[in-house]
Amino acid sequence: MNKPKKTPIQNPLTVLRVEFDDWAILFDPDSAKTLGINPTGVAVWKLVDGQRGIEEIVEEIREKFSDVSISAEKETSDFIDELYRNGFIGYSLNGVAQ
Amino acid sequence: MNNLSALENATLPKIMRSPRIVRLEISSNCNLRCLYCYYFENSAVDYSNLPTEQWLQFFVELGSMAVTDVSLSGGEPFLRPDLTDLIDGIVQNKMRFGINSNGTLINDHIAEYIAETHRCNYVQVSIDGSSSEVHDSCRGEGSFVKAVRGIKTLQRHDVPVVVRVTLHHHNVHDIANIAAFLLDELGLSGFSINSAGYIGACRKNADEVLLTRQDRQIAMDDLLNLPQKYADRITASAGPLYEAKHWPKMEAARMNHDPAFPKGGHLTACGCPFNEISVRSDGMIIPCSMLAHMVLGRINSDSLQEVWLNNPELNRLRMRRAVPLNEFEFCRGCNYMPYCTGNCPGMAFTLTGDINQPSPEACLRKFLAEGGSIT
Repeated sequence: MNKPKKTPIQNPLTVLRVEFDDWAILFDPDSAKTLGINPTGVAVWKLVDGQRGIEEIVEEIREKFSDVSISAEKETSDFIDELYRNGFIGYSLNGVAQ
Repeated sequence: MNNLSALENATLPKIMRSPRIVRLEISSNCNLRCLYCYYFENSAVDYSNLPTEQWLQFFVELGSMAVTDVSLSGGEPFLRPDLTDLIDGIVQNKMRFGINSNGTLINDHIAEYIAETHRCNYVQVSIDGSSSEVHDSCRGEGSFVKAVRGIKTLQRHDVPVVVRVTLHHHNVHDIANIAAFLLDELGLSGFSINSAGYIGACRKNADEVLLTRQDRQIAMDDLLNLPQKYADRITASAGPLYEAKHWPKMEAARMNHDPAFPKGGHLTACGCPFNEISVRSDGMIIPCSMLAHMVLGRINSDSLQEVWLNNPELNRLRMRRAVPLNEFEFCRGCNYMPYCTGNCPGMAFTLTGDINQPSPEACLRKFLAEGGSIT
């Protein structure tokens, strides 16, 4: 039996507010929490769709940006954790939001 | 003289893609007629009201622009019979809201409704005295009791409530009592304070309500001498408390021949056009309620994004900060110039008829020349 696939998925309430030069904030209108994110963070955010796992997200980031560091997977994982802790995302199991 | 050359040669600073806050005058009606009201008696304003559906349509646009906060004012927002429908529209479009109110119409039903949205940043209620006698002197008989009842109703439902105190000729001797009433008796964590300005209805009641130079001195001294338990809980971005704290810094800098303050020496006082924009009750887009004559477009007809990014008048207002104070006759020879930002453009307009002037109402040199003192 295949291991269930757990993938991050955006909280549909979260607002992505792009401000200057692709820098942005994520905003949760219920909690009023905000998180400032850089252009790479914005790109990651847009890939958090409940379908892609972290490895797939990193792969796409590597394709999109030329200067991705070797620790990109850990950085992306940490970033996803931060998004989860702040309520900006949840997880989906086999495509079903949990 | 008009410093058009500085303005014409100015470079537009970087602008966010959309405003963070949009201030909406959702009601042109008010159940009070406060003597110093900035909103009424503006000949440039059409005091009409948009129907519900036009506001709701606009909220969809605000949501699509990722505006995070709106403030609802007027007039008196709680006079709108469709207020809950409007709040629903704000919530559905992923925004938070604040309400500026006289507090007199707030009841359990609406307070409970607001609380249950979990999207309310604040309801701001105006309180101008520690008693009916003082508060009602400018705001009308019975308004104090109703406003305090409104505050207590909001508190009972855990709605974040904040208070704005406006100082004027009739309450300037009540500052310590107001602080004790709001912070001790009502248990507020703090409040903000300003003073009545020569704008709107205040223009025709100026002699009766504006602070005299002596009143202003009393206000500044009393605010600085409040017990520490109050002093740290009162905030001001303009008016006597701000001046009482800021002017001594300007004086110290002048005495020490310090370099200019950041943003000093130019018309840089107002940051609003970089963060927020306003809409009148008739749907006209304006930079700010203090510049209600300056129509930039109309909601649902003009794209707010387009207005925000490309309206020439709005961008000119943003570039106002390139205008140096040393070119104004009013500022000539002033040793405080490197530490001055020219004050509010709305007040500059109402007092001088020109937005691109320093506002004389918050001028330190003028205050001192008229016999004022700073500690």
